[in-house]
Amino acid sequence: MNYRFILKTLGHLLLIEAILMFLPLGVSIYKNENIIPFVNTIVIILIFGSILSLIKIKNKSYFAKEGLMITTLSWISLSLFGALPFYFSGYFPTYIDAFFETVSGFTTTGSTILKNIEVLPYGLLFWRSFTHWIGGMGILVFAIAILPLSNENSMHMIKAEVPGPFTSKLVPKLKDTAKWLYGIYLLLTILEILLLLLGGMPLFDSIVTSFATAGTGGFAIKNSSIAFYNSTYIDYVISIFMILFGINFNIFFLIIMKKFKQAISNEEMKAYFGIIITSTILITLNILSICNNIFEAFRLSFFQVSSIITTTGFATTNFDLWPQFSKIILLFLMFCGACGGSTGGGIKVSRIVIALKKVIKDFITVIHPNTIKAVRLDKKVVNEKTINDVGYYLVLYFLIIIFATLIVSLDNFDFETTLTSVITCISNVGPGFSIVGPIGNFADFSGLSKLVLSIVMLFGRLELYPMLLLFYPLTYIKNKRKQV
Amino acid sequence: MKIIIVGSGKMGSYLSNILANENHDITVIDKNETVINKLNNTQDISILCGNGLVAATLEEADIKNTDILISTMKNDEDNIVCCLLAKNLGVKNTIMRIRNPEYKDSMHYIKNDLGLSMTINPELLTAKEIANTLNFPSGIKINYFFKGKIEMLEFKIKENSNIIRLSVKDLISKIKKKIIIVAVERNDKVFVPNGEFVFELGDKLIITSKLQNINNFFKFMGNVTFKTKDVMIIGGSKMSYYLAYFLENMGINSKIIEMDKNKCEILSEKLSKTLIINGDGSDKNLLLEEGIEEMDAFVSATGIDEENIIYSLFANSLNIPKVITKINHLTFNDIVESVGIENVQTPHIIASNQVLKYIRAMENSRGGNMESLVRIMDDKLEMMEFVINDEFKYINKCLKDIHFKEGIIVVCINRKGNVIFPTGEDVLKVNDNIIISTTKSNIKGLNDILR
Repeated sequence: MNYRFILKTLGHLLLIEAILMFLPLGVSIYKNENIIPFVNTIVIILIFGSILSLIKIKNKSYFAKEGLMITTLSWISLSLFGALPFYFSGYFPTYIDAFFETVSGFTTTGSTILKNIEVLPYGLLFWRSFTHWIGGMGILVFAIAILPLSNENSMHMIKAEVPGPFTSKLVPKLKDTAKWLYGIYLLLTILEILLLLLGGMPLFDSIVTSFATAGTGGFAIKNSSIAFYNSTYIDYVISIFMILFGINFNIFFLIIMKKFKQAISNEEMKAYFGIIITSTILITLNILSICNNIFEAFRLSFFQVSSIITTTGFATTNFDLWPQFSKIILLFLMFCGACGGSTGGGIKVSRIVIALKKVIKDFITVIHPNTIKAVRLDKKVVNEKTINDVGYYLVLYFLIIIFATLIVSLDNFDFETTLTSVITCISNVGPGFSIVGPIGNFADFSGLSKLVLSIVMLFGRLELYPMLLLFYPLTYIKNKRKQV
Repeated sequence: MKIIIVGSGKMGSYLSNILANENHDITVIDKNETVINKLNNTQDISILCGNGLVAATLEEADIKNTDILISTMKNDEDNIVCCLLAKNLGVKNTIMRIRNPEYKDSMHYIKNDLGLSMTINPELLTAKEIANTLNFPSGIKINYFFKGKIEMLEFKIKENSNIIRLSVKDLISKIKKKIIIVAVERNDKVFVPNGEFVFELGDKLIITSKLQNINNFFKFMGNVTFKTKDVMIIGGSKMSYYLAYFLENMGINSKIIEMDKNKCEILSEKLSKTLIINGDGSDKNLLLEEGIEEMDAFVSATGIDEENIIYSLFANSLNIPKVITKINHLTFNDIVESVGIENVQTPHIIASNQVLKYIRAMENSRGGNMESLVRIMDDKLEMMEFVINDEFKYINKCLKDIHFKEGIIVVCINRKGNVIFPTGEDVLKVNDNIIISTTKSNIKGLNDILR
């Protein structure tokens, strides 16, 4: 393991975080708030970051293991330092709470431990939502786009950070790919800010809401989330943008390149839209009885479906009070998640499509034992290894849920709360049901549970394997090699 | 530049790695998913798993907007089809690997249909490289330019050399052969010499000409330390055949030891002067019997790298002056060097370097109407290739009547595949490719070289 290289890269990333923190600092200064939390944090990060980046590298080579390690450690350390402003501000009772909030921000989960969000100063609210925006597309992708630190092996880092079973480059150069991704991301975010402004939302609100939508995070700055604005227009704009950010970014690239046919024929996207439409219709019919009219039912169900499937977690109503049928659909959507290569979390639609196709294929083999049939996605044969990976991924996903639920259950909450709190964290959604429902929060959990849930969120965001590496002892054992 | 490489074998992956590091946009196409995925993890390129002979695959790789397609598949025939297809799909230039020399000659007729800029034959190039190291005394650096069409030799004038205090004019009249003095470096300054230029001790010269003429030049210059007369080659591969062929032309005696009797017979049909011996190269007694101890040079060129290394170690132990080892796969160059095997030749690297030189030249010449541009001697000297078109003022005029600017020299003329090293009496015709060398750096077009 090339520790020097890993630490130096971490140093660079911390410096980037310090620079990014000047934005909320600016907001604080503009709003005449206490700037001490940010100033202190920036100084601390700058000290740590500079020390680490001054490390001299003996050996520049690094391989898959180092790449994954950089990804994992950078997410953890960015969260550790990113939590400092919250902690210094005094609004968060313990450091664990601040850490939970920051991890929830960076992993675009959007679960909060705050009982009253509206008391937070603007600077902190901005930083809270800004972590969503950074975490959505990934800090390493950002670093690769602007820093000269990428080399041939950076692909390992990108692979760990960009979700989905396939990672493809838009253009041959990694750096250019990263720039394209951030370009598209920024453009869509700005578009949403403008559209929200048109709907009469205040400037600050539209900026932070757009950050939270873009990262599919779900931190709202009002206690009642998006319901506060009580505007049909705003609901629909946010719904549509949540869905857009849940699409694989390659598709936007194809559209920019005017390859419309290829863009439209994407199977994962079709399945994604199919799930959204079906769930919306089913829930609309189910909640019709408790709504005033069909339009309201549709509006609520459409918003909630897009919010949950993209793992954003905004709420326009307390869906915890909905009939059981609708709640179970939402629970399925939490597992399902958005498309691979998007900013959303969850298992990812493409994995589910591949798994289902494999099941169908195996079923046909039962009837016709001698048939040979390949599993296809977008008319291309998916190789056996990818299919197996998907299978193991699902198994691992559920194993982690079981394990984490076991620990969280020590807090002795009811079944619904315990299970959905873990599911909502691993899928990076935000709200669950019962105590952690849309109007609830995670404040009452014990320190241990908060720590476990934070780790689970990182598991979900980095797609399990990079985080597992941390807990695998062989990772740290030195390869006995000597330089020739 | 946008470059597509079809086939990710040794050569394909070597090229993609270097070109990606030189900031080109590389797409590699290969059928083998495992190989290509590994490449994707280790190089900054985009990959495409598919058959390079299918139009849809090439189109997916955005062939229309691609500058160069390099085809390095296993079969020559595949490479030809791939280039043909790519050209018709809109690629600007193609480069292909052709191993069969008979095909290479036929390519001349369909060059335009293929959009062919260059063909590469790794074995041939390796043989040429080895032949040159055997031909020239040590201390001389050989550079190839313009797709290997011309060789340039770089060397320092040492003490007791016969050309010290001789002018260029006198030198040419004394050896009575055409030698082009391309450039001279003296005290870190590079200039293109005219006829009155006088050589001094310590000057670094770059010269070019036909091989025989160059030999004459070195003979005249004196203090040539060593000349190869007898060479032993182990292994009767294609490369060995080319090498023996070149050595025959250079008047060097060579001996090939090959195990396979059929191969020996084929070799003996093609090579009249070379001694072909059917035997096992790993048989020490056979080597001694064939007089390995009296050889001036030893080339181990079997298909197995490990064997080649062992043979070369043996040759080293016998103090043979020049030992050359062909290594195909092994990546342990530092270890091989540490046991005393210094001259290692790797066909795919030699071939790739040729391609790289060409692509760099192409990159440099973008924007002007020159065909290619190469910078040498720490970028102090530029070599440019132009095509003479109808608009050139001095068509069919002798070179001595053309008013070139100071510090410009016409190094060679390529007329329909024949390379001419010109004197003042030679003329320029339409469609000639000329290569000029200059220390000036602001030359963009053909007319800039005229006064």
